[in-house]
Amino acid sequence: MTGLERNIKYWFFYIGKTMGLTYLMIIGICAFMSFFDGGNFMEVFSKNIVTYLIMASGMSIMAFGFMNITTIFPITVSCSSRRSSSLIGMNVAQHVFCLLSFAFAFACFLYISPDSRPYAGAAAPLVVGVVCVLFFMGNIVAFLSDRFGRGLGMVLYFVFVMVVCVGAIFVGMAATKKGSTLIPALLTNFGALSVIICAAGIILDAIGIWLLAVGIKNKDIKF
Amino acid sequence: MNTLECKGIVKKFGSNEVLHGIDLTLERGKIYGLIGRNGAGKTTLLSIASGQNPATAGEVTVSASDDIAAQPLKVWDNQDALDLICFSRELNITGGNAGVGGLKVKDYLKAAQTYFPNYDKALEDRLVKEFELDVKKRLSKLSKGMLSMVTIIVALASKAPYTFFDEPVAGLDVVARETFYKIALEEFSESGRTFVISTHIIEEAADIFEEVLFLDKGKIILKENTQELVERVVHVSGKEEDVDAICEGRKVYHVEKIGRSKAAAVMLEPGEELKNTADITVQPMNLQQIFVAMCGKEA
Repeated sequence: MTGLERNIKYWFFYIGKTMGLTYLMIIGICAFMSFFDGGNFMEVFSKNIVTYLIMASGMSIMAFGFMNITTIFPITVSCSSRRSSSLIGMNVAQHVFCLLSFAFAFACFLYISPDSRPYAGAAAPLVVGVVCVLFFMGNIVAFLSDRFGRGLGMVLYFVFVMVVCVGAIFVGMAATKKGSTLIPALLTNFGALSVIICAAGIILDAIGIWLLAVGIKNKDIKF
Repeated sequence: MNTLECKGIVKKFGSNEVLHGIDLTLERGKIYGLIGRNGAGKTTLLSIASGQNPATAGEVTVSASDDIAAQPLKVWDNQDALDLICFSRELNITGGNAGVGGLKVKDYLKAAQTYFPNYDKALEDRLVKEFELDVKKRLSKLSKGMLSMVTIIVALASKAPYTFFDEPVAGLDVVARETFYKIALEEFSESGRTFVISTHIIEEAADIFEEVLFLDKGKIILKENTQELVERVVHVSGKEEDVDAICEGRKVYHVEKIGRSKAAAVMLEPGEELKNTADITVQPMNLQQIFVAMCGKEA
């Protein structure tokens, strides 16, 4: 096996195990809640699976970036892996599992909300875009924590989020002011909006991965 | 020739230079002892030689075969070269279950199994049994000695041609240490791998070192065959003028003066002998004593 193949194998094993535990936890929570709902597990499951899956996957994405870079990545390097191969393996496994989770949640949502099905095709790129944006945010946390330490890194991350939110508010205000036709145009072309968000998300995700690669390229690995 | 070479290795952390232009050749099929005081740069040197961390300057290369025509491989960021080297570092687990500490022993070993191309699972199983290690325990719950056992298992089972141990016997009880030395020698005899073992417990490990490397303040101050070194360095004591006469023209370490008497560690020429006389006493020194003497300044 090449170095990249070994990394794909290991990261899929590790992240699959982590996500598997998450899914089991979700099933366990639904089973627990069904005790209070007349014992109807399938009803509780179908009502809550979308929310739980999105929350769990979203939180996993945010946590993965930081946890995997600080914990598992050094172990792979200490086992004589190339850094770039490990980073690629890590990102491939993270993306596959999280995209599958969101895809399953999306499919469940469409199943329980038949009225939404006509919009499925147009909304699918939006889901991918949102996942990619979450990965970008997770990689930013990892990059900042790794470069500046956990404490300062988290402070800088919150500053970054605030700047993005404030910027989004100003853009929103400009787009929704009287006479602006941007929002109506975008909403009538939901499919185009979805594709734009997907493309933007993918670009941001790629930027996040690149930042991480730059950060770990010549970093001294310690335990 | 089948070697791992470090050329001009410099390492800086910020403005602090910790390794100063180290040149080192490790030959295939030898056991080296890497000895140095705390903070001398042993772990840093091993992490650079194994390609786990970058050097500020210099280069590490490894040749995979005895074919003189074959180009040596650069170690840094080269998987073909990295596949030949294992550096099982000392695990320092702090912070409870956070980070590496949260992993179970079997998860850590799983990583090693996946990454090292020649990993010997049967040897791993044997070592786990010999050391009586509970693989279901989290690393944060292991004692220092047990953490050392984990790193030993990974290093030995990796079957990497160049295997580096970073203080492998730290925290091990005497029975476990003897087990390690026995298995390391068995493995060495069977496979002809190169082992580099950094340790503070010098005398115990001295018997298995074919060559020793003394690292002091970021420089290699000595690289020599262990047996020859022990034969060449002697402790000379007697009246000051007599000892000074012996020391003339020779490398002298760790001079002690007590009144009119003087004692010093003296390095003889290869094959040279110094006998006791009425005026001076010549005593052999063990490897630990030689290291302690050399870590002082040359007279």
